[in-house]
Amino acid sequence: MIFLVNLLVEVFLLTNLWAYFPGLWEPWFAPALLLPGAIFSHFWGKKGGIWWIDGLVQILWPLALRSLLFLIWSWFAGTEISPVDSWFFWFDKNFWPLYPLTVLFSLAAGTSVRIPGFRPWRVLIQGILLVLVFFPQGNFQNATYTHPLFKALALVGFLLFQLWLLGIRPMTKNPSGRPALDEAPSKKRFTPISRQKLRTWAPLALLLLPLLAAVLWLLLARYEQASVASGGGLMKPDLFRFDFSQFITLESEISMSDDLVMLYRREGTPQQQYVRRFVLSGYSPSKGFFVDPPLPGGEEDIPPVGTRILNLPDPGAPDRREETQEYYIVNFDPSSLLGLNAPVKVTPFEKWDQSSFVGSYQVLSRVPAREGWDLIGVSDENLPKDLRTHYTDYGNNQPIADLAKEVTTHSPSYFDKVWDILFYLKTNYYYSLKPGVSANGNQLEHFLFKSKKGYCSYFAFTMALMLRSLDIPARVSVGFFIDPTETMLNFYPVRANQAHAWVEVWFDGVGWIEFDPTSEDLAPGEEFDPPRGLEVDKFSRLIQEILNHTLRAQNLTESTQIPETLPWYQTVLNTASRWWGLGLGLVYLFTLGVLQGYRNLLRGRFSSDPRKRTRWAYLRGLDILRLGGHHRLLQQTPQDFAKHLGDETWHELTELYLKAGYREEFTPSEDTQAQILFKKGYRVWITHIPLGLRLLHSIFPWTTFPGGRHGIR
Amino acid sequence: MVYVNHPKIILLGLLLTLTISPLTALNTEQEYIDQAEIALEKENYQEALKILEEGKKTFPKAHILRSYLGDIYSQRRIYSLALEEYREALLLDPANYQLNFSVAETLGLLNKNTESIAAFEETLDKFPEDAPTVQALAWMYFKVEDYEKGVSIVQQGIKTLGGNRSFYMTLGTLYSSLYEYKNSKEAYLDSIRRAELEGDTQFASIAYYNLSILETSFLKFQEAYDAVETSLKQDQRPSGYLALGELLQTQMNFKRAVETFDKADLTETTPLTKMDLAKIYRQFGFLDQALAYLLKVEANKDDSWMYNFGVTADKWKMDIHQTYGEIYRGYGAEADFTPRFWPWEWAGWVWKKVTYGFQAWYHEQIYKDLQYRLAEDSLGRSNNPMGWWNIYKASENYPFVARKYLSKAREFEEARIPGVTPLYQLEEGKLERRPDLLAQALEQLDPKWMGLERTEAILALIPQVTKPQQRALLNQLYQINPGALRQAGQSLPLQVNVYGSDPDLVSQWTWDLEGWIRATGHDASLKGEEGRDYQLNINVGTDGMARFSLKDKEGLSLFQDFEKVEDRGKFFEFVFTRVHRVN
Repeated sequence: MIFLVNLLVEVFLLTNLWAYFPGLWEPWFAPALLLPGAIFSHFWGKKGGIWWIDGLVQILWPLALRSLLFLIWSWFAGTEISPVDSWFFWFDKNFWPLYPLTVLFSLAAGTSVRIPGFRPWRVLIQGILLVLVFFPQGNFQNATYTHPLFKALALVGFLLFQLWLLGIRPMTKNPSGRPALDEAPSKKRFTPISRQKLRTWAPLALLLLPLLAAVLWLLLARYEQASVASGGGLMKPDLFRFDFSQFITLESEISMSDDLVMLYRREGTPQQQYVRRFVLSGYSPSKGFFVDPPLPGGEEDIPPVGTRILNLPDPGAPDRREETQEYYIVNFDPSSLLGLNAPVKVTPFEKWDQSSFVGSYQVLSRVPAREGWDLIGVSDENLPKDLRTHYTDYGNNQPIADLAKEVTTHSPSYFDKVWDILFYLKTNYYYSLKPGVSANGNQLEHFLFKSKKGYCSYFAFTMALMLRSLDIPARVSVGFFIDPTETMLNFYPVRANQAHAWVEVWFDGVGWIEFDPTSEDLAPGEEFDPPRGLEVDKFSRLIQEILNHTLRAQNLTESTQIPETLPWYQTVLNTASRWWGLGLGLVYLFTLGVLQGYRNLLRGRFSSDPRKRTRWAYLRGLDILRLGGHHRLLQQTPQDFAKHLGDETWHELTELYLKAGYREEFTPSEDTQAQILFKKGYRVWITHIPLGLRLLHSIFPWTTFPGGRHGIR
Repeated sequence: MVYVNHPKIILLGLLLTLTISPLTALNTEQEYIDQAEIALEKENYQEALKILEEGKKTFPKAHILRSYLGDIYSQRRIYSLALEEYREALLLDPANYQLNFSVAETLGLLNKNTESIAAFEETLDKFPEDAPTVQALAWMYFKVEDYEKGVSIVQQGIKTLGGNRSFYMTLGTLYSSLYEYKNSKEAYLDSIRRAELEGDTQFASIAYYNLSILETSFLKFQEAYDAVETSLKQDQRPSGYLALGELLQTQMNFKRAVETFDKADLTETTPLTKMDLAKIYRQFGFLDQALAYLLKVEANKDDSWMYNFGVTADKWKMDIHQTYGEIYRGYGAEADFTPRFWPWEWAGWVWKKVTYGFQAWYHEQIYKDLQYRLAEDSLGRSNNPMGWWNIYKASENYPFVARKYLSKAREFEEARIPGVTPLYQLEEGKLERRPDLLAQALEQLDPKWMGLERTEAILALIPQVTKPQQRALLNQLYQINPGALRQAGQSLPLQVNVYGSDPDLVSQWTWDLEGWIRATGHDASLKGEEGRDYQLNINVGTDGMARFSLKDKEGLSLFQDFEKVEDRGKFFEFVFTRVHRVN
C-alpha cells in the first residue's frame, strides 16, 4: 500500500512537471522509467542486499539500458538515411529530463524500505519537489488546471496522501522486515502497533495539517496574484470595454484605440479638465505606484456607482467651489466612478429603453478655486504627519532624489519646486507610445536616464517621485483628459486615447491640485495618429438621444452615506477580515487543544481497566481539591494528605487508589465504590472553588488553574 | 386577492415573462443589421453585439447576421469568435463565396494551417476562377512548405486568369524556396515592373524587400543590400528596416543595425523586430537586453501576423527557444568570470551554473524537438533540403546520424548556391571536431558579410588548438565581436599595466588586481607575456579616481574613461566588462 501511494505521489509530481514543461517528454515515458525503478527498490530493499550495490544498480541501470539500445539502433541505422535515425534523439529527449528524478525516487524508495526512520525524509523530499514544481507556475503557465480551484483540489489530495504516509509510520512495528533477535520470524511485515503510539502521532498530524494548508495557501495566493498580473487567470475584461491596465503600470509599449468611451457634459466655458478614475498614492520600488486600499474612506477607496445617490467625504479645503458634470458611458464599466477632483456626490440616472449608453450619472465635485500662479506662497504645513509620511514615500530612490535636487537648486519656494520639475520634464523628455525595454527591468530609470521618452504614466510617476524626494506630498491620478476643442452643446466626446495619468500635489487650504508633466513633443521618428476630430453627425445623434429623454435620478430620497470616519466595530471587522487566515489558524489550534484536553480527561474515565478508572477518580479529585486551595505537598504521601485533609470520603478514595496501584487483587466492584465516593466527594469539594474559577473549570475541566482559596497546609 | 392556481395560466405567464425582451422584436434580419450599424456608428459595440445575438435568435436561419457578427469580431482581431460565426453562416449558405473565403482566411489567421488549406481548396473548387483564392491558397502552400503545389497553382492561375503582380510575387517566393534563383528573380522583377507601372510604390517596396531576401539566401549580399535600399526608397516599411538591419548585422555593424531595428520597431506591429533586437543583443553580449526583448516577444499573444509573413507557429517557437537557450548558455559561461573568494561566492557560482545550465538545456531541448518535428514535416512535403538541414542540427549530439544529413544537404546546396562551401566546411568542422576544416572555412568566409559565421568558426576552433594559437584567435575574434567572448567562456588575452604617482597605492592596487584576476579566471597578466595584443592601462590617482584605457597592438586607443573608485572589486568588474563590450 505504501509502495502504491508513494508511486501515485511521484506520478502526480511528474505529471505536473510535464504539464509545466509541455513537450519535454512523452507522458507515458515517465511511468515506463519510474515503475521498474520503484519495483526494483521495493523488492531489493526487502531482500536486504548490500546497500551500496543496491544504490549503484539503481543509478546505473537506466544508463546501461540506454547504452544497450543505442548500440543496437546504431547497428540498424547504418550509413544511409534510415527511420531509426530519429530514435536516438527521441529517446534522449524523454530520458534525460526523467533520469535524475527517477533515480532520486528510486533511491528514496530503497532507503525508506531499508531504514524506517528515513520515511518522513522521503515525504519531505516529495514536499520540496512539490514546491519546486508548483512555485514557478505563478504565471498560469500550467494549462492543465483551467481554474485555481482544480489546482487547489489536486494539491489538497497530494497533501492528504503525504499526511497518510507520515501517519502510517507508527503503524508499522518492524518495518525493516527483519525479525528482532528475540522475535520469531513473522510473515506479516506491517502489523498495527499499540493505539497509544497512534495517539501520540495523531495530534502531530493534526498540527501538520494547518501548516500544510498554509503552504498551499501561499502557493495558491502567488499563483492567482501572478496570473492576474499577467492578464490571465480570473481577470477577464469585457470584450470591447476600455480599461486602464496599461496606465497603471509602466509598459515598454502601449497601443491606444480611438474608440468612444463616453460623453462628458459640463456647463460653462470649455477648458481642459482632468476626470479622475484612480488615485495611486501607495508606492513601492517593486510595484511602482498603486491604489492603496488601506486608507479607508479616503479618495483612494472609491466606491462603485450603483443605483442610489452616493455621498462621498468632502475634501474639506475652504478654497474650493462646486461644479457639476455628467457622464454618459458607452464602452466602459458603468459602475466605475469618474469625477473631477474631488467628487462629493454621485447621482445615477435611470436608463431609458434601447439606450446607447450602458450607464449614466451626474457628479458634484468640489474643485479647486485657485490654481497656477495663485498658489505661489502656499505650502503643505498643515498636512497631518501620517498622511505626509504616506505621500512622501519615494522608496529612497537616490538617482531620482539627486535629479530632483539638481533641477530645483534655484527654486526658492514650494510652488517653484513643483513648477520647475514640471517644466523640466515637459521640455527635456519626449512623448512616446514605445518607450522601449529596460534591460534590468527598471522602466522608470530607463525612461529618466536613457531613452528619455515615454507615455503619460512615465511622466506622472517620475514627477510624483521627484516631488516626494523633496518632501513635497504628491500622488498619481489616472483618468481621462477632456479636450476643450471638441465640444457641441457642452457635450465632449471622450475616446480611449484620451486616457491619461497626471500628478496631484498638496497645497494647504486648497487640497490636491493637478499638474500635468507629460511632454507635448513626440519622440523623433515616431508617428501618432491625429485625433479623429469631431464627427458631427454621429455625435449629434448621441446628444439628441440624451436630450430626448427626461433624466430622472433614481431613488433620490434614499441615499447611501459614506461616513468620513468608520465606527469602531467596522474598523475591527476590517482588521479581522485582513487577518482572517491567522484567526482561523488560532481557532483551529484552540479547538484542537480543547478536543485533546477532553480526550485526556476522559481517557481514564472510560478505560476498560478498573484500576485505571479508580486512578482517574483519585487524580480528578486531587485536581478539584487543588483548585479549592487544598494543595498536596511534594513530600506528602497520599495517606498523609488524606489525614491532613480530614475528609472521610477522600480518605476512603485514597485507600482504594493505593489498592488499585499496589495490590495484586483489585475487583471491578471496588472501582464502582471508588466512582461512588468520587461523585459524593465532588459535590462537596467543588463548593471550595471560587465561582469564576469554577466556571472556567466547567469549560476546561482538564486544566488545573493557579490560585484558589488557601486551604489547610 | 386573486389566487392563480391553474398550471396552464402560470406556464403562459412564465412564457410571456421570458419572451419579453428589452429589445423590441424587429421584422427583418436587415432591420437588426441596421440597428446594429447604428450602434456601431456610435461605437457602442456591446449594444451592437446584443442586437445581433437577438437577431440570431429571431432569425435562426439568417446567415447574414452571423456573417456580420463575424466581421465585427474579425475587425477587432478576435478571430476565434469570428470563425465560429463564419462557420455557422456557411452552414446556412454553403454557396456564398465570401463566407467560404472568410472561413479559410480566418483559419489561416488562427494558424490552423491544414484546415485553412482544406478550406481554401474547397473554395477554389466552388469558385475556380477566383484570383484572391488562388493567391491565398498558394501563400498557404508556401507557409507549410508545400512549394511545388504552390507553384503549380499559381502557374495555373496565370494561365487561366492572367498574370498580376501578386501572382508573380508569390511565385518568386515559392521559386526561392525551391532554390530556383533565376526563376525567382525573374518573377520578382516582373512583379516590381507591374507594380511600378500601376504606380503602387508600396507593393513595389514589398517586392524589393522579398527580392533582397532571395539575394541573401543565395549569399549575394551586396545585391540584397541594394534591393533593400530600393525597397526603403519606395516606401519606408518596418519590414524594409528589418531586412536592412539584418544585413548590417551580418556585417557586424552593431550600432547601425540596432538603430535600424529601432526605426522598424517604431512602426512595427509584429514581434519580428523585437525578436531581431533580442538576437543582435545576444550576439553582441548584451544578455540582459536580449532577455528583456525576448520576454516582450513572448508577451505578444496575437499570432495572426504569421499569416502574412508565411511563418508557422512552430518555426516561431523554435526561434524563441533557440535564442533563450543561447542567452542562458551565455549567462552560464559569464558566471565563470565572477569572483569566487568566499564560500558564499562559490555557492552563488554553483547556483548560477546549475540554474542557467538547466534553463539553457530545457530551451535547447524544446528547440531541437521542434526542429525535428519541422524536419519530419518538411520531408513529408518533399522539402528535402530543409528537412535534412533541420535533422542535422537537431542531431548534432549524434555525429553518426548528423553526418548523413549534413552531406545530403551539402550536396544539394553546393549544386545550387555558389559560395556555400565554406559554410559547410564550418559545419563539418564543428561536427567532426576537425581544426583543418574550421581553419579552411575561416579563411574562406567573407570577412565583410559573414561575421557571424566567422565568430562561430573561431569559437569552434579555440578548444582544438594550442594556447598561443588560442590567444591569436581570441585577438581576431575580439576585432569581429568583443561581446562574443565572455558568453562563450573566453576572455581577451590582456596585458594590464597599473601605474600612478603613489608607489604604495600602485602596489596595493596591483596586489588586489592580481587576486581578482586569479579569482575570476580572466586571461590577464600584469607581467609582460607573449601573445597579448591588447593593453589595459589603469592610472591610479590619489584623489580616489582611476583612469583607464584600452590600446591595441599598434598602440591605438580603443577607449578611455575614468571612474571614482569606492570598491576596487566592483571597479575591476566594471572595467573588464567594458573591455568585453562593443565600444
